[in-house]
This record gives sequence, C-alpha cells and structure tokens, in this order.
Amino acid sequence: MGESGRKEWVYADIVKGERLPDITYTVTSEILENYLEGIDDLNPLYLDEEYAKKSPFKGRIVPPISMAIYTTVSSLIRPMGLKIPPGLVQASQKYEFTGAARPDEELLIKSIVEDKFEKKGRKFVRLRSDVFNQKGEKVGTSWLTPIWSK
Amino acid sequence: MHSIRKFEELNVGDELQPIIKKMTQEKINKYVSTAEDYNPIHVDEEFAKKTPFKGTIAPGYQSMAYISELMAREFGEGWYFGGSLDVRLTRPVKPGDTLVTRARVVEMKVDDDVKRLICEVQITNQNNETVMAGTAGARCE
Repeated sequence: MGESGRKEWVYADIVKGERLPDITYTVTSEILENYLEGIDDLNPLYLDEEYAKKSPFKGRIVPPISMAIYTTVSSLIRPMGLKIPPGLVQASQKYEFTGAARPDEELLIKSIVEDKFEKKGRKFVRLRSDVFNQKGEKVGTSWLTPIWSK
Repeated sequence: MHSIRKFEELNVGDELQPIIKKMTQEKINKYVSTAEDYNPIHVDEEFAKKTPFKGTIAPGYQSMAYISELMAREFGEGWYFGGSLDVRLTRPVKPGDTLVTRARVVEMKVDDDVKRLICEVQITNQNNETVMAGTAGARCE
C-alpha cells in the first residue's frame, strides 16, 4: 500500500497501552555497508571480521544506534496500514543499548504506546520499542516522543 | 585505535575528543537507502526547495550516529552493553554542513560496583549553532 492510501494515525485514535504489530528487520552486510558510508564510520568492529573475532564480541556487530532507522513512528505503524499525520515533530528520542546484534541477523521489534498526554496545549505520545536478537536477548530499547499535529 | 577510557582517568568536566564530519548529499543518499522510510525532503532537491528548508536536509537520526561513534570510541563495550542516549533535534542539518560532535563528562557514579558516567553531548554546525543536544551515558571500566 502506498503512503497516499493509508489512513492517518491521529491522536484521538491512539490508545495508551496499545501494542503495535511486531516487526522484523535484518541489517544485511550490504545495508550495513551503505549505512556506514552514510554515517562515515569505519570502525573495524562493524567491517572487519578478523579484527572483530579478537574483540569481546567474537565477531562483527552492527552499530547499536542503527536501530533508530527501524523504530521510526512511520516504520512502526506501517503494518497497521497507517501513516503519521503531516506536521508531526520529534520532541525527544531516547535509546538504551543492552546487547549486540550481528550483520545478517533477523531482529524483532516489539512496540507499545507507553503514554499519551497533553502539556501546554501540545499532544505528546511516547512509543517504546524493544529490539531482540535471534537468541531472544534484548539488544536495545527506543523511546520516541513526538508532538502530534492532530 | 583509540584506547578505551578508564573511570579512574576521567573527571567531571572533562571534554572528550570531538568528532568532526562534513555532511554531504551523497552520505544522505546512502543513509536514506538503508531505511524503508522514504521522505523526499532528504533526497529530492526540487521538492525540498519548495519547503521552508529551501533544500534537502539530513535525517535527524543520521547525525545522532556521530554521538554513538564518539561514545563507542571512548567506552567500547561499556557503550554497546549499557549505553544510553537522550537527545533533542534543535536545527536541521544540510548538505555541506561541517558538524562538530562534543561530549563533556557531567556525572560519575558507582552503583553496586558498576561504574557509570553521564556526558552532556552536543552537535554544532559551522555557524556554531546547535543542531542536536542531550545526554549520553555509558558503563566504564
């Protein structure tokens, strides 16, 4: 479904405690290479298997902050056939990193509407996404708190 | 390689070595190609010219990665297992911008033998305008 065919996820329709559909994603070696060129980071822990094998991680990992590109509000609600209303502004974004994810490993995102509230006339929604690796270990958590435009 | 910082060698107020990067349209295109989240404001100059930004801008998440790079360089495993980042985007980043990412230690603590520190982090552009600000925390050996 194209973006134009999607209904907007407006503030009134958002329910605190609502779980969003699970999403899986894989940072393939090709995606990783483009990502690293985009952020201009040549850390051998991400690129050089021989180097990474000698590290505490025993092999290459993906940058933990790469979870940010898969936990955007648009990505999280796309499986619901929804899109964000225009004018949505990111008020804050927070991340915690708790484990390693590998290139070519399928990762699972589980998300929930942790809170919605109005403050000084603005509408806020806090979305929490926990990311798990194939062993079921949590590799990180993202909290996005956009200001909803409508 | 930069050596991993030890808790004992750091003090509140210490500035960590900054990272300086130049944002380019090519880097934006590479970054955007990794996400399924297509937004013409990042890649379509004709579209972007008609917006209040008057040209393309980088995704906010792209420059956030510079803070992660700095913290990974300084704290290694303590960033990958125990890092935290809390930031606000304050100004758009445009192709051609030179960005300086800084971190300053503002808090150091030991809880249950786990050493942690918090840094104030900031990214500024060539006009010394802040484009991103917040805090980053890491475990420390």
